[in-house]
Amino acid sequence: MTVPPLRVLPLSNEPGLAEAVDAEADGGSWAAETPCNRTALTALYAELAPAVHRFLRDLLGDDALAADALQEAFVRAFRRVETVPRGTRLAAWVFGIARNVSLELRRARGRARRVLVEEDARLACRVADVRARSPEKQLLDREAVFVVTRALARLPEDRRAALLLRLDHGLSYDEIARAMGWSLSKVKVEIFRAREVLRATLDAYRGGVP
Amino acid sequence: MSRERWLDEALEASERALFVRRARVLPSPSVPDLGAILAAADARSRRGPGMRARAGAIAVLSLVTAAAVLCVVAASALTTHERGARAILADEGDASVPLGAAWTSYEPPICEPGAEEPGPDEACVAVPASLLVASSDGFSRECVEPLEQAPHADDFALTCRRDPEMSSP
Repeated sequence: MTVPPLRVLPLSNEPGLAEAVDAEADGGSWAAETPCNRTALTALYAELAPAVHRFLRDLLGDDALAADALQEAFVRAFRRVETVPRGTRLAAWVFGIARNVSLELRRARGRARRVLVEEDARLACRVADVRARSPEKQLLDREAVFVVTRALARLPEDRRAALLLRLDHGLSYDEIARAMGWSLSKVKVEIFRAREVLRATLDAYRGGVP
Repeated sequence: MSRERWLDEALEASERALFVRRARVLPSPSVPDLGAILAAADARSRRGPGMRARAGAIAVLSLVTAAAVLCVVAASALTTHERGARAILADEGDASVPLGAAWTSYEPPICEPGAEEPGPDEACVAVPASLLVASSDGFSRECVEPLEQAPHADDFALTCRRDPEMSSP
C-alpha cells in the first residue's frame, strides 16, 4: 500500500493557534488529574459536556441522538463517579462512558446516518460569518471542517472513535485503550491507519499538489 | 528524540490543529442542565437497591428451579438404569450375587466342562473359572455376559445369563 506524502498544514501563521493546539493536545483544562468525586465532575461539566457532545455527534452522526447520549453518559458518570479507581483521569473516563453509550444507542436504533459534510460546512460558514473572521481564516475554517468531516466519514466507527479521542480530545494511548477496551498496540495501529486516511483526504482535497 | 519521532509529533500537532479549528468553528451545542442530570442520577441510584434485591431474588429462584430440575433428571436416570440392568459380572462368594434369585435357562445353550463339542444349535462361552457361582437350583453357573465363544468344551466353564427383568432380587 502506498502512503500519501505527508505535509504539515500551513496553520501556524494564525496568532494564538499554536497555544490552543497545545492546550487541546494535552486535554484542555481537564488535563490535570482531579479527584474522582461528584464535586470534581460537577466542576468539569460545563467544559467537558460540549466536547463529549461533539464526540458523540461525530460517532452517531445525529445532533438529537448525540444530545440523548450526552445526557445518558453524564447520568451514568455521576452515578458511578465515586467508584472510579485512583489515578484515573476523570475526563478520559467520561469519554469511555460516552463511547459505550453511543454503541448501545447504535445497536438500539440501527445504523446511524453519516454526518453530512455539506451540512457541517454550511454550519461552519454561518458561524464564521457571525464571528466576523477574515476571509482567509474563514476559508481555512471551512477547509478544516470539510477535510476532517470527510475523513471521519470514511472511517469505520471504531477507528473513528480512536482518532477522535486522540486528535480531537487529547487522550493518551493508554487512556484510549481503556476507553475502547483494546490493547495498547491495537490502539496505535488503529490510530495510525486513521491518520493515513486523514492525510489522504487532505491530499485529495488539495488536488495532490505538494 | 529521534528524527522520525519528532516528525511524527509535528505531523500529529498539525492534524490536531485541524480538529481544534473545526471544534472552534462548529456551533456550541446546548448541553443538558446539570441539575436535571444530577436528579436523574440520584433517582437511578435510589432505584438501584430495590432493583438489586429483585435481581437477587430472581437469581435465587432460578438456582432453586435449576436444582429441582437437576434432581428430577438424576432420579429419572437412576430409575432408567435400574430398569435396564443387564447380566452382572460376579465372582465366587461375591455377596452382591443374588443367590436366591431366579435364573433363566441358558441362551444360547451352554456346554458343560468335559462335554463334547457343542452341537449345531449350541454355543460355548468361555469364562474364567473364578467367576463360577452357584445358582439357586444348585447348578453351578456363571453370571456373565458371554465373552467369547470357545471351540472346544474343555476350554470353557459353565455360564449363565440372567434375564434382565429378573435381575433384581
